[in-house]
Amino acid sequence: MNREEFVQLVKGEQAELRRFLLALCCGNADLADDIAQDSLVKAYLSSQTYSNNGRFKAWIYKIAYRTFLDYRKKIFNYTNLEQATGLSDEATNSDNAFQYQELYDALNQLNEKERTSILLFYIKGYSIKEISMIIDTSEDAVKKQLSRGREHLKTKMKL
Amino acid sequence: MKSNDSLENLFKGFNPRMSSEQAFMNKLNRKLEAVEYIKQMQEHQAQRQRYTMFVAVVLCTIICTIVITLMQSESIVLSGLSFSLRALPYMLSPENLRVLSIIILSLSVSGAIIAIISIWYELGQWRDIRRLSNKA
Repeated sequence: MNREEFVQLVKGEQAELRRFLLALCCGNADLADDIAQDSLVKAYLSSQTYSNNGRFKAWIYKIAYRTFLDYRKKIFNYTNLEQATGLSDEATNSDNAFQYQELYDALNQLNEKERTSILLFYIKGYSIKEISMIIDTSEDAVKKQLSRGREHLKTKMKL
Repeated sequence: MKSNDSLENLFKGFNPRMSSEQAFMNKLNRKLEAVEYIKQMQEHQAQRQRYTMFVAVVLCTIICTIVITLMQSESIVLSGLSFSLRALPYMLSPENLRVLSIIILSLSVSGAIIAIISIWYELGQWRDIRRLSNKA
């Protein structure tokens, strides 16, 4: 896969990827964009050896999830996610004037795997099998994470 | 699994405002360009390193050949040399001194060649770094 092909593939997917990462980062737009950029550069570096073209998007999401975990280790060793999102008030403010603040707060209560499973399931519409491949866990574990995540979200969002 | 309509609707309506798509793609393109450039530089450096190694091996072979030829032309057998303290006065005989000076000279020339090659290689790397920083 050369650079032009890669850019073409990414162009069609970047908006969805950034939306997913924005929710995963609980509304921290700057952090979400940094993770998106890093993930895509990592994907480009590995794209020479990548052969399974049918699963390109899922592969990108897998890299994005791992990059998110790397960032979390780096940043959240010093502060928790709540503080991290609080530091980036400008980014959050620009996000449709707190339109999704309640959702971000609710997502913030979930652990990373629950949050990722919920977002991949509802935003991307991925199946449990695909989610299990992306977050490297069993299908049963994904089912449990989805179930727990749904319950937490419904309680927090009063749905 | 998708019977949770309330959650489905919640995420269906999730359409946050994000930074410009064009700006994001431009930034990504710049990063990919830098990645490409670094990859090319690394390839170039590896090639230069291989070439340097080849030059060093050839030069050292030539020097060794010259030294061996010189020693043979002097009809001196190296094993005849003794480095014990008692033999020290004998070692300073004119024949031995000639052999020792040839060895020291060949070592110095080899060292000088290796140093010149190292400097040349370092200069190449420095040029690459400057070119990279100019491009950035």
